[in-house]
Amino acid sequence: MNSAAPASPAASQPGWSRESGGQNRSGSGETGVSRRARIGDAVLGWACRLSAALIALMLVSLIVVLVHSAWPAIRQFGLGFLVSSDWRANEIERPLRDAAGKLVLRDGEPVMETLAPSFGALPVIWGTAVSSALALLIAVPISLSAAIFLVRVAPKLRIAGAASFLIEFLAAVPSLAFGIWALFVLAPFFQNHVGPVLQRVFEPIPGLRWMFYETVTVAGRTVERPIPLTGRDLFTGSLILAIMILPIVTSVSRDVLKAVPRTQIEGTLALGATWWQSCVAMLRYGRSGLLGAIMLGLARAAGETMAVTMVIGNNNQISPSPFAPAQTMASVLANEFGEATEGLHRASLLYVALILLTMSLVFNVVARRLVVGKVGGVSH
Amino acid sequence: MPVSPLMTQPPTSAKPQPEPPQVELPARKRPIASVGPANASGGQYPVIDAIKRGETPEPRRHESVMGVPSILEVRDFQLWYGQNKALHGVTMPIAEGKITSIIGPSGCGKSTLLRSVNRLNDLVDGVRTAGSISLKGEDVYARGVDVISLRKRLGMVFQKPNPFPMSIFENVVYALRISGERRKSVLEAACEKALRQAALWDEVKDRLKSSAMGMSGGQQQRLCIARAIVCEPQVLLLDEPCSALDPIATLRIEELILEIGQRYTVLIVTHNMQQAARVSDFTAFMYLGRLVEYGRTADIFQLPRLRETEDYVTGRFG
Ligand SMILES: Nc1ncnc2c1ncn2[C@@H]1O[C@H](COP(=O)(O)OP(=O)(O)O)[C@@H](O)[C@H]1O
Ligand SMILES: [Mg+2]
Repeated sequence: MNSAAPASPAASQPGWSRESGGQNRSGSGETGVSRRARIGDAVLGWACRLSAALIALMLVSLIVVLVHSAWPAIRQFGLGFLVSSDWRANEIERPLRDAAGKLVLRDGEPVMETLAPSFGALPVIWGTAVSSALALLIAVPISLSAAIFLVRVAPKLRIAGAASFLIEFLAAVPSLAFGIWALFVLAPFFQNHVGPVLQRVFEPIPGLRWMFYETVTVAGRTVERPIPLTGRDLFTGSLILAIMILPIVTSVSRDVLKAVPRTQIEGTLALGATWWQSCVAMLRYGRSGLLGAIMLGLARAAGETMAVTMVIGNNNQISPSPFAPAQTMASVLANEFGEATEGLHRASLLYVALILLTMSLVFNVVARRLVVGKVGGVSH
Repeated sequence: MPVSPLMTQPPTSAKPQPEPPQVELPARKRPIASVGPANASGGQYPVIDAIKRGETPEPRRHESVMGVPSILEVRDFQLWYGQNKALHGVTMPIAEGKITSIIGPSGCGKSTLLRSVNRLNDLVDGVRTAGSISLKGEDVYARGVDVISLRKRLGMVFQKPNPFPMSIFENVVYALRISGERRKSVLEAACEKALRQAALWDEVKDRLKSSAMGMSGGQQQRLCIARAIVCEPQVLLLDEPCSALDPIATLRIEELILEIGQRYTVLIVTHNMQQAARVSDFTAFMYLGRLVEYGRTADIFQLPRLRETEDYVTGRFG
């Protein structure tokens, strides 16, 4: 490099000599290693490898066991499981109706039909997808703002450490604690204060009626009835999910933003960017890492069980309204697995678990890919 | 303006040196080496020794540079990073429409001075300043100065090319975009003009929509120059723009700087002496946060008034 040559022998000298000193030290250390220490190294090395292999083996066996025990359901429903919205644990008998919803009569008596137990994952996939998406919608803006605060504001106020600690502490709160809080604080608060306000505001808006009314078929007639705002619904579930994924999304985003080179930020500022515009540039530079952070949050939201089960309402249905009770893959497992004695029911639940596991794996792998390249690469 | 003698020199050595004539001479006489107490260099470099003792000797500013119309006036400018004082009362005018280079060993405050002009140092925690820098007569450190619009009047190019992760086109027009310019025709015209001025148009005109991250280092740096001049800055600040580039790319950037210097005032920091000699009209030599000597580049390289400067530019010291 031509510019460095004449001016800075003094500057380059110490660095060079430090480096060579380091090499000398490690060189002499190498020869001084005793046989015993080397055997110790080897043993420890193999122990580490074994442990790593064990973890991989656990994952594989988990998948194998899941596939094996879900097999009856996989064989019976195939991929149709993913798009079916049946969820009947027991055989039921009901009056047969024709296409117009009229009872089919024979000799004045309603004809009965028998429905065999049947399972489909669509409602829980729907519940998981919608609750996770809503949770992201709520959590991502907050997380990104918090991450920007942690990287660009908190260090100046000398509270970066404390703020980061708080956020990471939030990640350590057991999900049951969140669930209890959601059940006893969030849900009643929503039921009594937020829900009615939302309804008053949004219901008159044309096209938003579906949020507060559901159409149901009762005895062959389609009627519209108001959804009771209980506070235990998809919306509250999403809210608690949002709170629970805040820490991970925030802390990974913070690391991604920290790794944005200073010259990028200064480059925008030197061109006359405002503080806000330079933050946007930062987000743009870190976008793939941030996407990874969001994916990690998504994986966590999709798999979260306890807190969601407590407030989502646990109803295996597909309702467009966020104020209707719903069910997620994780919550249906938590709710029904204990009492699922019948073989197909149990297998179907395990099929759900398998889908959940696959989804989480995919999210996690993609997320790590996106994050690791960003945070590891440009650290200095 | 007469060049003041070194005020901090002991009386025995305070003999004012005779002014060399302003015509360029093929050779020059050595300045008389002064012998004083506490001379770390054995009396060879009295000014450097004084600086090392923490003094701020009056710099040798040639009248050739003090006479020309200036666009930027640095007056007794001082800057502290927390407890560390990085600039000790630097006073220098920057000639309008010319290329001025700042040379000096690493850590002597060249970048700090440059970044003080567009107030990029404001971001660094614990920075304090004193004195003033004025751009076209307006003090950039005055209360109530709109830093954003100040920066829009200045362009800056950094040591390492820092293209933004977007298309070449978007990189060039970034400064216009953040000012709210949306008209496609305006943006396109500005982009072409800036790229032409940065000698990059022919290379990239067919791939304006492709990412700037895929360009070579030299191209990226020329892109950064295009980006910096798209708003026609009053002063273009270049902070060692070639230090991350290979010799061929360096040469192209130097050619470009010479060309751009026809249109803009350029203030370039470099610690490559040849580069300063090749591209600039005026050269300032800094040492440990002080201005040491400042004059026409030809004079600084061929007729420096201080032995320190001569030995620095010839690579014998530094
Ligand atoms: N952000 C900073 N914080 C603290 N000290 C700094 C900072 N930037 C530069 N300095 C110090 O200021 C002095 C001048 O640095 P700089 O202007 O970068 O020198 P140059 O560009 O001439 O190599 C150096 O001693 C350096 O350590
Ligand atoms: Mg520098």
